[in-house]
Amino acid sequence: MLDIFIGDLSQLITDPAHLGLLLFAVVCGLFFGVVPGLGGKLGIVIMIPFALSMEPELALLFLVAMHSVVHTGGSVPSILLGVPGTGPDAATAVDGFPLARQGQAGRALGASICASVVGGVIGAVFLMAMLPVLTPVILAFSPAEFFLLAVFGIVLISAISGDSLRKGVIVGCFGLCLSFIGLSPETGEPRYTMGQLFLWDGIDFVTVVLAIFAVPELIALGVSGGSISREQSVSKYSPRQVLDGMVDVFRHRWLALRTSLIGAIVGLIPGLGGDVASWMCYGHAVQSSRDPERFGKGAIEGVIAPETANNSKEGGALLPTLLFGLPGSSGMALLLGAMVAIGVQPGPQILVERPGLIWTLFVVLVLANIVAVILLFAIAPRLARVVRVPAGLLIPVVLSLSLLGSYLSAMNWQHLLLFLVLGGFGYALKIFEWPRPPLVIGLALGGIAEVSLFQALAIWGGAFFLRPLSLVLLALIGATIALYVWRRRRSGGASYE
Amino acid sequence: MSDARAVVSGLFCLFFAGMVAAALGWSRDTGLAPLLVGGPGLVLSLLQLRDDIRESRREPMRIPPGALRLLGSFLGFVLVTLAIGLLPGAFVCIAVFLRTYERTGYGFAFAMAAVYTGIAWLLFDVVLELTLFGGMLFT
Repeated sequence: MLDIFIGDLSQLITDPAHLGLLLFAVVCGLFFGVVPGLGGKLGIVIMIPFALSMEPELALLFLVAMHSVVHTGGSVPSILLGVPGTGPDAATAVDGFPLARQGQAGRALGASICASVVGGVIGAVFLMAMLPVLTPVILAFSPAEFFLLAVFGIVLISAISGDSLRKGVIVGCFGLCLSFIGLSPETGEPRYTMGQLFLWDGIDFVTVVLAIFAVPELIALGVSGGSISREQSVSKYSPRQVLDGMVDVFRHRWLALRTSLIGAIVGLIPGLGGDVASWMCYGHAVQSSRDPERFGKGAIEGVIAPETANNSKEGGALLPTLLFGLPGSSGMALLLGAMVAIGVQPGPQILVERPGLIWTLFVVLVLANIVAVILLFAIAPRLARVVRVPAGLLIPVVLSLSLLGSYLSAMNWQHLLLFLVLGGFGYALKIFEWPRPPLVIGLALGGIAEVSLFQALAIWGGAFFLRPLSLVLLALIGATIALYVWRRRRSGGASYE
Repeated sequence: MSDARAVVSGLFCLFFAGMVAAALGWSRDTGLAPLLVGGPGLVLSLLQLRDDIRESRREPMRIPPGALRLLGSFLGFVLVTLAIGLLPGAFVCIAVFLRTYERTGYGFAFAMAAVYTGIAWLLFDVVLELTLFGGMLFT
């Protein structure tokens, strides 16, 4: 086992072609992450024609390396602009952007970069070690557990919205209802489409995330005037500050370790997606903190937790994708399609036909994360200067990029109008202190929750709650609510919005 | 209304009421999930609306001045984009925004708008070969 690992590692490092391809993949991944609205999924789609011209193994290496660092790049606009580069990066914006506004953009970037590589490496190493143990656990999850996991995700996010659990649940329900727009997965009948053909495919997720997070920040920036940072000292954006952020990750090493493991495990569960991992870990950071009221106002743990999870889940999601043909996330679903396109058939037979491939991919995951951190570390102080750009230039540029992202993701002009409507609504949520993250998690989980509910009802009827794993999840949901009530009584609640 | 806070919970009430009302007219399988989510959502929104109305009498919350004007300018941005396309729309809006909001000179405003539009065109149109929205006036 070790000799295969060392052999793959040395081949990647010594072969200039492999190393060059890895570097190019990392640059592409960072680019797709940095530009709001592009993301890993679009990155894979755009790069499939390019990958088709390569050997299958090299093509897979390229796509996996690119996809694994998208969220490392996605943290940059989340922190500097408050605009999530991709959906899962929204959790990073909650505390990363307030840090940038306090003149600590470099520190937040440093923490994010370091947390990303720590998460990526821990996720890959953990899964290499746990592969034989976790395989039966993956197979034990049934539709009943998928449904309850979705409920758990919404309750968890609502509970940590601090100001009011009720508000969090209402916004979560709103997100779920948005996910119901389109054709019913059960009957195929159109729901809430109002006769509009573009709504038959549902509301585009990227459009909602960009509208709910970007527009409110842009309006707030325009109302307050100036630039993103209220801090005027240029020395605040030194490499030293980036280094401080990296040290922060090691100061919170146990949190980074825990959230890396949670991210890897969530990534392992097919269909849950990256949003769940990052928000779940953000929630864990709030719940395990002694001062939860700091969250949402610039707590560095609020950057570390989602960033470790974002990268560690890639290793986790790769396993069911490769071994069972079950995508662990929507990005992995596209990767699955790309694998078939380039001639790598996923499934258990991959272990027999291409025994070294899994190890090569794990090596790629580790190396891509390390290369990404070196690249970003080199340019982070320059990136941090983005926060000095005047609002009058930043607002139309970011708005234009968000509209581009929305259009490229949905590919219809109607979503541009939807973007504006949801953006205005997002601003109302922001100024009247309603939590926005439950909306995103509700929308992300709505589809899988509904399908799983129907499957669970069809298999077990109303008694699906009584399965042992379901009971564990129900206990977790109950414990989350109880913890919220206890915390509220003790300290008046935590707020991260 | 003296306090805008209740607007959000009021909108949620209307939204969930509409969702539930529509779902009642569908078959059981089509409407089950919307009813399961919309029903509790409606009840919770009504409770929140009641609390918000009570709260607004004690501590009113208002929309910050300038926010609606900014949102209006975003609407203008989107309408211009819909009319002439994503890249020309971005050019016009960056130039106008720099002139009116930042009060820069015409030369600087147009130069910045041209730089951004040029980079975006190179990146999205030439390198990535993505089909960008060309605007209703031209398509």
